Amino acid sequence: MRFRQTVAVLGLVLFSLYGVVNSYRAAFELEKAYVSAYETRLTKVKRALPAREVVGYVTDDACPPDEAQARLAATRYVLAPTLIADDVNRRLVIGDFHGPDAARQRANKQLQLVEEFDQGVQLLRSREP
Amino acid sequence: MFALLAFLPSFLTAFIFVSWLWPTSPVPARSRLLRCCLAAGLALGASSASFFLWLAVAGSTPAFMPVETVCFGALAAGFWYLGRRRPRVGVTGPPPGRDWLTLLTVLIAACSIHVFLLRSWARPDGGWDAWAIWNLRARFLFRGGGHWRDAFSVLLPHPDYPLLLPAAVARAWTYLGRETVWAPITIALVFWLATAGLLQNSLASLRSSRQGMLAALVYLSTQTVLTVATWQYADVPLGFFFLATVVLFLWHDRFGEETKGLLVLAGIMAGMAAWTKNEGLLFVVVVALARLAAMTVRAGRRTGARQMVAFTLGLAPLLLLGGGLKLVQSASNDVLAGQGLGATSARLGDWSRYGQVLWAWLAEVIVFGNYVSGVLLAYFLLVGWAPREQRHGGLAFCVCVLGLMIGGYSLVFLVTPYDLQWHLETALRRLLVQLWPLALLCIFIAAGTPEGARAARTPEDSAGMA
Repeated sequence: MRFRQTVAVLGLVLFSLYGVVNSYRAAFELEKAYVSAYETRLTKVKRALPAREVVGYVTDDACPPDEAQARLAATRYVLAPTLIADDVNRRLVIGDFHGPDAARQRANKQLQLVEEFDQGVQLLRSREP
Repeated sequence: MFALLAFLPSFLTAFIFVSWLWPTSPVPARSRLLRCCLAAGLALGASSASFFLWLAVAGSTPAFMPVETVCFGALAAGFWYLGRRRPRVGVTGPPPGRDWLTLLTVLIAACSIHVFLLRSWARPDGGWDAWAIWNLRARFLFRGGGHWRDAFSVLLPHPDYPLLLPAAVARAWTYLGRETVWAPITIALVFWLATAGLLQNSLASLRSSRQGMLAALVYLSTQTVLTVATWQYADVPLGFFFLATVVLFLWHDRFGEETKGLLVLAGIMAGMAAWTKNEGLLFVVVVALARLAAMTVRAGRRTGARQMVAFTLGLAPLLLLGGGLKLVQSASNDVLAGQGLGATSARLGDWSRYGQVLWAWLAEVIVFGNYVSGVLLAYFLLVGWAPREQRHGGLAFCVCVLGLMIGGYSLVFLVTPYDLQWHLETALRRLLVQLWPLALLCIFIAAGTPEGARAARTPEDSAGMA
């Protein structure tokens, strides 16, 4: 190989090594995704859901839209094959509250508590189905 | 490991099928590895198609596994019988290299696989799209039983997306009898490695062994691609099918009209792309147009038409399958649904959107994979152009496909009903991951080979370098 070609090949090789080292660093810094936490969080409510019924969903009002979308997606993923609608106009509604004002939100949305589970997860019933 | 066993019947059938279509004229060394890479992608696609067909015809019944195994076995036996009657000619070309670059590529591949597993261990459910779209749908197909059609409910995100990944995952769970995160992880790993293998072996045959090794080295170490692969997104599988289709066309060009089977296989791979993601439909149109144009210019309209017939023969069954899926899916595509004569014209007439899209492409290409494009540009400047006779006319076809795909994606951005900046920020990087194997193929076909120093000194090549 000529000098220029040797430099070119060595450059690519070194860059590839740098890429792998960078990938290692990023892999070790990676935190657990919270979808895994949702598997544990929703275990009990999953057992309480009827076999085939579309269920509503509500989360904290103060939750930013992106975070609310992520929570809904994680809930759908864990509770499949139950279909989860992004509204409260269903007979049963899953409450996924992380903040302290779950009771106030229930009252505002005309929802009745059916059962309360761990970590802010609630099964609710619509007062006017 | 058990997840891999679930794909063994379809892999063996796919390998025998690919070997049956493989040219009987002299083919380069290591074609077995190349066939393995093609068969891996084909097997995953074919098994997902068979799973969907079974659901559609017979519903969710436990007879699927034995019936499918018997069908794959019968097909494998049939292809093997047909293949053994064809004369086999020995391989030609350079033997596999055992130099320091090969060893380094193997080392980097091993390290990258280790990183892949570390990331998958930390996030076994993959990235957002994996658990919000692909694996979610797989869970509906597997857990839904008789109600598997709920997977296409309008209550779920993107109900119009094709089924290659979800059905392949659900099929693996059906074979294993339980859900395991290792099924989607294994599928993601297989597609990622098969793409690297396909890239390396294709370039080794079309150009040189070192060129192939360097391309594989760059692909395996591109952090963005590795990350998206561990997210279990459909973009890496889609990139595999893009690359496989184009490579099969190039192989046909290289080994002549005797190799019509490769065109049928190219059609199947393009169909698999459409079965993976909606972007695959754009690819089918683009690759057919680019090929027809290239053949019409190079060999006449009749040759172009003949090639399209063989290509369509492979493509048609998968397009029919996709059509069948659209009948099951009631939802329309979100981007298409947001179009209307007035709204689309207004978006197309807004010149600032063109600048925004162009700038976003440039910025993303520059930062992609830790500025890998800059490093490749420097490499190109140092080694220069390949001699014209080594490019086989395939470079123009590859560049044409790549350019038309970028043009097609840009058009979608221009007319998107979503906020343009948001759409660019969330989609552009993944689109580059889809096109990256094809881009590397173009670059390493165009660039001079590191071992081609003597050839580069010929007058013809000097002109090319200039």
